[in-house]
Amino acid sequence: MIADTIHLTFLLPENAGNVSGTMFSGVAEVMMVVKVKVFADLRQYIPELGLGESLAVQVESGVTIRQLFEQLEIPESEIKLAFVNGISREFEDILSDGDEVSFFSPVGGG
Amino acid sequence: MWILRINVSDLSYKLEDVPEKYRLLYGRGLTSQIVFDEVPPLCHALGPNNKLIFSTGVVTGTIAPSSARVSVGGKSPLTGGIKEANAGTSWGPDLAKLRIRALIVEGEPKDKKSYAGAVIKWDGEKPAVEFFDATEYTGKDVYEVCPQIFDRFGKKVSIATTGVAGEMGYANSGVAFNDRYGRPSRYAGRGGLGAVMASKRMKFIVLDAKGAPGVEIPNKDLFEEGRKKLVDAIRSHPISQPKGGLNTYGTMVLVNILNEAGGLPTRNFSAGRFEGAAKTSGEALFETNKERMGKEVYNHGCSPTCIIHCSNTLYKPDQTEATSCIEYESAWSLGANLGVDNLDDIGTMNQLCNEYGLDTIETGVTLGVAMEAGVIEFGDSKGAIQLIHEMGKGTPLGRTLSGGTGATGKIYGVTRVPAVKGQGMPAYEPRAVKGIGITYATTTMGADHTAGYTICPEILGVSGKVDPLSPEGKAALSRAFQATTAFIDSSGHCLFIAFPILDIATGFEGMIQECNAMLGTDWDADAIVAYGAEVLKVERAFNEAAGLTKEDDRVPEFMKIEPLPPHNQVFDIPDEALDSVYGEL
Repeated sequence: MIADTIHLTFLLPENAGNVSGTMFSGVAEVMMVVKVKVFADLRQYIPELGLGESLAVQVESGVTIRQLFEQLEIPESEIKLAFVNGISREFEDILSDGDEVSFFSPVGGG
Repeated sequence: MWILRINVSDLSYKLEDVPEKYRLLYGRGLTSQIVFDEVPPLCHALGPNNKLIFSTGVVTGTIAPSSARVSVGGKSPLTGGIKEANAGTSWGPDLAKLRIRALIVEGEPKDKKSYAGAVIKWDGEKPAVEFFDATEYTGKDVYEVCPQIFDRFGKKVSIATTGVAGEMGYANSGVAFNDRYGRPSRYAGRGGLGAVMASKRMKFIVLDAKGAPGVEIPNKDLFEEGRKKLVDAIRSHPISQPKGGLNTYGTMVLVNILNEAGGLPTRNFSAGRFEGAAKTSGEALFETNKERMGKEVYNHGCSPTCIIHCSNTLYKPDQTEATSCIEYESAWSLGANLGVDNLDDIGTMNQLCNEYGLDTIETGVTLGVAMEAGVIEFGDSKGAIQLIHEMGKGTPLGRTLSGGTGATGKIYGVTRVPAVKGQGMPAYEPRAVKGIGITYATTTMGADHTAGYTICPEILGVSGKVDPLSPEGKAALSRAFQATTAFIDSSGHCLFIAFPILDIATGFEGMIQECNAMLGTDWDADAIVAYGAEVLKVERAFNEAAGLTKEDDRVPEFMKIEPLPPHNQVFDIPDEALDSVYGEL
């Protein structure tokens, strides 16, 4: 759990500077923050968000878009499109720190 | 079935048999063919030789789903080329039930001061037309006079009309039709056909289909099979199904997705993202209504047989109706394109356009150019409302803004003029969505999005998925969409059946089966694309004879030079690719 993470950079000199990790797992996890917006029918999954607002979400480095919406408990069957920094991406694509991700249910118009 | 000609020179009419060569032509296919056959391409669009032609589609008047469409055609005073604009309205099925395959309004009114109205009824054997003096209804708000026509001729009639914008000869005036609730809000909006109707001094065309025989279905079993498949596809696709994307949020649901994609033209096409976009979206309208009405308000259908129900209503804080409906195009043209994020002001502008008879797209894009020119500031929604009033009142400034986007750009010496063939671009930025840019440039209609809606694969993930920023394969994509759309515009179906049928093959089959059942044809998917391609060729030939050249199939220069934030791309489709769209048709 993120809340249980202990910063141990002074004990892990080879990883000093950019790693925080649990002392006992022996596995270093890099955390990143991505900003998430949800639209149309998906708004019900993050109800506290105002229109057009984004939610800052802490995720593991190397997380995919799929892992992100699973973490947010948005059902995959309801997501039609995921935009990352304005580009439509596949759910297997990997996210980077600071990415802005927007999820849409199926929409159409004229 | 007949072709009905109304001659405004002497307010006479005649019924003709449908010539064999028109046997398979309906809707846009027929209006465009008649324009080609009968309108001199070099005529003045508001002069005696232009004609206004109405025709409904193959399945209009039947119980085919979402099939109450009518095409309106003529030479456009805005583009100087051919125009087809269509609308969803009971007027379409009523024309079909009266067994009228095309209504042609032609001739030159002798008395330019008075306006006539026509009422078309069934006399027991055939359609009959009576004329009435409609002069008293001119110079007025369309929402004020249409109820008077319903009172005079019956609540169940259908009405086609033109507003003061048409009466003043505006190139941005549309032909308005009634919706299911009597609002004169369904517009065959683009290209100035309202002015063509007014140039014939025809203020109303009223249809009373009482006692009319209706539409025959030669092969009922095949029709029913096709209809069911299409209904199933519409009802099962998440965009078109009940409580789906369109039924819940309407077309305004596109505001946020185009904004996220960086393709929402902002402040006169100077950026692809608008910081206020979310406030002007379908979600915002849904939530505003929920707050004001105390319940969730789902959308309604514009016309009989529709099962998609995408039309919204914006309510005021006092729970009265502000306007219905606001399409994505209008929410954008009067919103992000003007730097306006006030939904109520957008609603006011939408309603004013409807009342005056103005095309909301052309009006909004023109106002964007006016803001660029400094007439008012970007974001000044109250100023924009005043300018629309000036247009409706015909003040010198109002008239200056009513000749269309290209004309306004010229008058004010602006270079950032987002128009093709003089017609303002709709709500998708060519530099961020290159396929739609190709459609805007090459379609026979002037800058037009529905003509070849590549947004489906480029943004929406419908009919596949392609990269909107890539030029690869986009000429072919636009060509395929343009040809298929020309067929759907002839079928009588609302274009929104495209969302389900491009993803669900049985739905596509069902549409074709319906048409085969009506016409006795044996079409498959290739055949209907070929049909659409033939319609495009006819339109193209008219345009060439009207003096349009391939140099008119270009996006404006600024789009090739100025990178558009946030993706910072220019429109880099080479001219050869643009020319190949029709070159390889």
